[in-house]
Amino acid sequence: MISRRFTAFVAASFLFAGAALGQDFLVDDLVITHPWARATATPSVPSAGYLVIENTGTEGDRLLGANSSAAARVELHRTVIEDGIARMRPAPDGVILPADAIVELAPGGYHFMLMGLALPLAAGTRVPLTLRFERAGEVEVELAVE
Amino acid sequence: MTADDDPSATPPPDRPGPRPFVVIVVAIAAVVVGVAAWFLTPGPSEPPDQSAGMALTEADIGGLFQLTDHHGKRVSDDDFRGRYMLVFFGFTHCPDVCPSTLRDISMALDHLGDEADAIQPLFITVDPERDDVEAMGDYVTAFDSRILGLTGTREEIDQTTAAYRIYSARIPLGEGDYTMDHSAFTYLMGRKGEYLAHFSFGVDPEEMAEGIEYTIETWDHES
Repeated sequence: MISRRFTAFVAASFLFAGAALGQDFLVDDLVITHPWARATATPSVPSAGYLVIENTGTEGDRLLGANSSAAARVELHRTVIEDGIARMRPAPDGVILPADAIVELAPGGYHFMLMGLALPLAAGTRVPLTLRFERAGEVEVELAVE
Repeated sequence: MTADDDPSATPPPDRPGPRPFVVIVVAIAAVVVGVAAWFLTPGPSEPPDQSAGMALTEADIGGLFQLTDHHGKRVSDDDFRGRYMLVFFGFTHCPDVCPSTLRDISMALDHLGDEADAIQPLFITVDPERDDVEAMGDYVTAFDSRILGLTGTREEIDQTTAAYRIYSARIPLGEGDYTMDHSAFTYLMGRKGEYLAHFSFGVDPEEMAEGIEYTIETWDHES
């Protein structure tokens, strides 16, 4: 009985770990989680892509940019909200990823602009995005459209 | 706000240049007027409590507007009398702040349940050059179906943003593309069109719903 329970526990643990790993992308010392993009009703408006990057290493890195087969152009932008006014600007210097730190690309902050979409991004679909890092090089992730 | 955004700042072509003295006097006068305007214009008021993401204060925000909804129907502020208005200004080429806010408003409406029937959510563009009726219709369908998208002529939009103390400015992004800086408050307006409260960007939808409930209860007891 105990061993059966234990087996079930181990199986459940693996399932849980598998589900968690299903969203993660690894490159060098970087762990990329929850990549997602905003659904758009038409291809004429840009979408925004977000993700979380954990640098588990002892050296800093930098997110330089990205490209996607789903969009003519992908740019790194940053929204800053000051005194209630939202200002979005390109972030040509990229995003610094300090050693042993988690950096979040999230609404109202850093994000990828997916411009010139081939098709509207439908919720429930996935779009590929190739990230470029200064040290870690390139890695392809999938943005879940929400 | 800056000379770059002001079409009237472009020098008239083919006219002899003004004398340097006149230029300096005009420049000084412009700076004085500009600085005075900066300090005197109330602008979007500071929320007294940013941490809660909600403010309930007296303010001279709101007023008349005549616009076109995303179905192509002409509407005015008068059409929403007797209901509360939840007003957010943005633009359809806005991939970050606007969809986040419209998603939050949609979720707040869900939290409110039947109470949301008394509320008309409005999404008003600050970019009427790109946001025609069709563009607004395409954009708002991605969110709660109760949200009404409003656009108009540049004059109609300017009149509305002035009434609501909304700051907006066109910022070039290169290759003919541009983005808009804009005030990112969500305003809750009363049944007579008066200002009741506003919410800052990023407020939790449940907090927004509770803030709306609280404000409406307070307002109804006072009226």
